[in-house]
Amino acid sequence: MRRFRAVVLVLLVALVLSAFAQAQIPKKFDNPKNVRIALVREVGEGSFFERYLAGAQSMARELGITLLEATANGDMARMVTMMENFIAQKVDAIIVDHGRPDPLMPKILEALDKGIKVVTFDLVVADDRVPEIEQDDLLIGYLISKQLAVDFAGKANVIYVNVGGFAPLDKRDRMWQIIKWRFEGIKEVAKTGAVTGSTAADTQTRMEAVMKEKPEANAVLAMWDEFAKGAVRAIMQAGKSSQFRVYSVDVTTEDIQMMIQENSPWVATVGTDSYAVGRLAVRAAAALVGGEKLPKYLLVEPQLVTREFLIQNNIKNMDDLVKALPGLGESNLVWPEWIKALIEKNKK
Amino acid sequence: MKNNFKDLATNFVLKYGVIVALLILIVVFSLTTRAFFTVDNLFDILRAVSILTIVAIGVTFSVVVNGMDVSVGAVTGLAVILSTALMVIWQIPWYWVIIICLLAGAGIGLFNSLLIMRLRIPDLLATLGTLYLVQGLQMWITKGDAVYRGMTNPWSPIREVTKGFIPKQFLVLGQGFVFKTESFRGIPVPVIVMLFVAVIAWFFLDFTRYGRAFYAVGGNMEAARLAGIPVRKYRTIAYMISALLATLGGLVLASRIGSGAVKAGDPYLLDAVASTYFGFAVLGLRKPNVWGTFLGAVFVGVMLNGLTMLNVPWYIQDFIKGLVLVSALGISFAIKKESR
Repeated sequence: MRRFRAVVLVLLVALVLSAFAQAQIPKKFDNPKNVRIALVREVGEGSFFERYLAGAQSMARELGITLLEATANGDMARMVTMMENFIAQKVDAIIVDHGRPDPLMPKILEALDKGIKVVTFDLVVADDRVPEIEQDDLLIGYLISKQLAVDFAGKANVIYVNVGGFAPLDKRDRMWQIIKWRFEGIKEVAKTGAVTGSTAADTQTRMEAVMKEKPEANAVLAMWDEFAKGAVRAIMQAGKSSQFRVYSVDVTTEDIQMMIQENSPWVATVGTDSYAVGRLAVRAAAALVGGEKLPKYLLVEPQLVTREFLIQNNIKNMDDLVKALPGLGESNLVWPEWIKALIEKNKK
Repeated sequence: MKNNFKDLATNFVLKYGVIVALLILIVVFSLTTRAFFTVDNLFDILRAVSILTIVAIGVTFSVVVNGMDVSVGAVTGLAVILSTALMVIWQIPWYWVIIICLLAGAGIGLFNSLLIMRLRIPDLLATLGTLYLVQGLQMWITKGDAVYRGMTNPWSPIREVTKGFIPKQFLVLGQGFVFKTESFRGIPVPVIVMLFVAVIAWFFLDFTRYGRAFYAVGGNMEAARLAGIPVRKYRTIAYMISALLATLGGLVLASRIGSGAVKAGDPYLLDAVASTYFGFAVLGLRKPNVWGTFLGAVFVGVMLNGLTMLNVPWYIQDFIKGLVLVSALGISFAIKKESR
């Protein structure tokens, strides 16, 4: 009899404990496969977005949820249609990756009205229910401009490669203006750049012309890595590596490879790991579906990466870099206890 | 006599409005910038337009037989990704890569001509279909990623790092120089490739029986057939040349940027078609011709180079380019109408 009681007691405790553990994970995630999160992307090509998608997929796998993807190839009308399709399919959440606010806003509101959660990446949405993920572009612009100014001890003739009209590029530009105001010896001798179908190759051609016209230039500040790639190729092919130092934004394996090659003038870049951003986007969407309240702004902090650091630590790709520079790896944003528990549970 | 000379001169200016505009531009840029009128820079301009010219001469062939090939941009892009992916991901020697790419290009040209001649799909539609097919194929090869040294193999389940790289021999095609001397940097290899293609195409179209047959097919297909010209064969060859030159352009582009950027060929379609039609007017020939196409491309290159040196913002550059183009063409065409 006593033995029987002991068994009952143990069973009871086990039951209570397991119920407690399960109570933490929202009911919706009892069978996580039934949670469907849609990822609607404006563009999909290039190393940054390839890695972003791989990150999103890895998070979805760990959470055990279903991730549906659609890429609009830069076509805003198609992006709107994709939103409509996912709303009609009654997915649980939609991640809107880039895009323009005007055409997308009505669809975002429609989704919210139907109880579908929405998260955006690099898209400004005037609605408190929609958390916005953003690489902290003001900080990016500040860090890289400051690095240039400090490296050159406040005196440099800079070829500035940037264009207006793109929200992240405009934010970075703001900080460059401030740095020029702070350091009077930092001169912008030329401004070039254009966003075309093949930006890097186009920048390369423009850079060849600018270098010849402004022989006094000794630094390049490129606010996007596509610009930097073109500038670096132009400089290296002209054999002017010793004359220039290139500063840029964004970091991918392709960028790292160009930075570490012999005689590369590309000395520093500032960026985030798109893999971590992709993971954050899916995690945030899942958290909203689980009833979690999220802050309006999820700003991913960028890191400065120098050529010297890459070479000293023998870094050859993003995986190496994330290991050597943990600040660049997994974002510490949006980690409710139940999400950790869910990942642990799925591991078993 | 004097009057006659004046007439001749005016006539020349008006007839060759585009060339005159080009000369004026060169003078203006030379006076307003420090570096425009230097040997190195003039070769840089030629190098910058070399890929466009190669692709545009391909388009010229399709237009000569009264067709149109809009798949060239996609084919150029495919060559960029395919060549670099073969070297970086699958570590295939560069000479095989060039052969494989050219074969793929010829295959696409053949496919285009099959669609057009066997299935009788209108050429614009057929090549448009091919455009999407080839574009899709291009993305599929790397699953949307660009190709670069040390990339993760998109086909490896464990995201293994690739070991291949683009060898120096291949890079010569887009980055090399020949005839170097102490004081002279040398002539860029892409410029040599471009001139080679242009001279051969020009000789072929203007001085051989076959070239005249090409024009005959384009002028009046029925008449050409009655004259005993194998029309089908000539059109097939035209589409194959078009795709082959687009592939060659893509190989030079891949070598010039030393990596495989995604959709790198896209901008070449519009520019190549524009150069070809621009070429109608340039020499007053009113038919597609190789040197007209070449000058059309050079015109675009001179504008880009000079305006960039003058620090003109990029969003105004296209407008100025359009303005000069329209005025030059306007003068050319207006006078021809009058003189008739």
